[in-house]
Amino acid sequence: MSKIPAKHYGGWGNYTLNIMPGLIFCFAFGALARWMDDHIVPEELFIVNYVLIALLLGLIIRNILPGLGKLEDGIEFASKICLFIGIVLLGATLNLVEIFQIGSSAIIMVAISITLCIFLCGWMGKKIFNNERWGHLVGAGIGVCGVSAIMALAPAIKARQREILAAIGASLLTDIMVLVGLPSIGHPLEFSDTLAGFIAGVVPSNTAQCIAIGHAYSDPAGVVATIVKSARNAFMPVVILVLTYIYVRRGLPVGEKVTPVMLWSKFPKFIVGLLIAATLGTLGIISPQGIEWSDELSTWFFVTCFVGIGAGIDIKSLGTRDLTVLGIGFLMTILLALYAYFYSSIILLL
Amino acid sequence: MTEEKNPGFFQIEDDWFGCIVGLGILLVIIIAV
Repeated sequence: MSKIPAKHYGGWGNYTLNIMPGLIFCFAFGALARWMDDHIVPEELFIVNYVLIALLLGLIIRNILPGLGKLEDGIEFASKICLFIGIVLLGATLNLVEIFQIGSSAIIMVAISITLCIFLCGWMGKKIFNNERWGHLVGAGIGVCGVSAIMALAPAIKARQREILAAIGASLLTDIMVLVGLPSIGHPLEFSDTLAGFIAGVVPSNTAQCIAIGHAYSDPAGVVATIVKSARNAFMPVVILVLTYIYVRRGLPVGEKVTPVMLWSKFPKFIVGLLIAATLGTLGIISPQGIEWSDELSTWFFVTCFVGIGAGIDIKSLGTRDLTVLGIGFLMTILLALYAYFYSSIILLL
Repeated sequence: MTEEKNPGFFQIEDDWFGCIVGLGILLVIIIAV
């Protein structure tokens, strides 16, 4: 996680001024997405909702209009921090018991998927590129939590810039595939919200995208996806620790030392906020009307974030990444989706 | 790891920032409703 404001802003005043244009841009298009969902999109077209519209509006504008440089700081703020705020507010609408039930069901499921993903990607990396480290980086990205896992693991296993970029490309590809695939396959096959939420929580790589994809299916699926993804993120320190240990054992060069402070630094702190909010909601400290307000506000923060996520995807840069690594990403997405579907329906009986 | 220089103003990790702002909004909601 990075610190805000970055040093080059020189202080909070300058930072606020810099993020405002992009933040207003994301909020305005988010409001347009919600309006379009309510007034333009026919109800029969249930696949298209405000989440998809917001993502697409951001994606199209970013890739069609040149010179959005002045908006970039605000777009980054919207796609990260609005998501964190939205998750904390969403926490108020959740039941603490439900969180632990979903979380405990998800723990074993994600532990298996992460292990398989890293093992298979490492094996493919060794066979295809004779570079197991690259495979492990891709596997950690797809298996755990996309860009943040790749960036956290890269210094520990001394990955090169090209390897990092390709791994990020593969993780973004999984997100796009599930974003398109889950609503198109899940709705016709009548996947339950919980099943869709588990798939949205396990298969896409990046946290914001998991939550967006869950909400794109339905709001209850978005809640399940948020909890499952949080369980997955909790494995990030463990994965870094284990892989670093393996590389040390093999006598390979490693960078950053794994300490308790480093592990805590990788833990997403907004989960602390989500648990506090869920406790307040479950204990009845927040009134039912307060919970409604919290839910509505979290939707506004999410829709602002979704425009930011769409606007953060540069299609051209995805095309220039290593195609073989993207192929691994493609294959892993299909395998993970099948695994998530069968595990959820056979073992969790969803 | 190298020691980071003090930038001369208060900095906070982005996930803590989101957590605190979210809980702040929630506190306002609890008081208001």
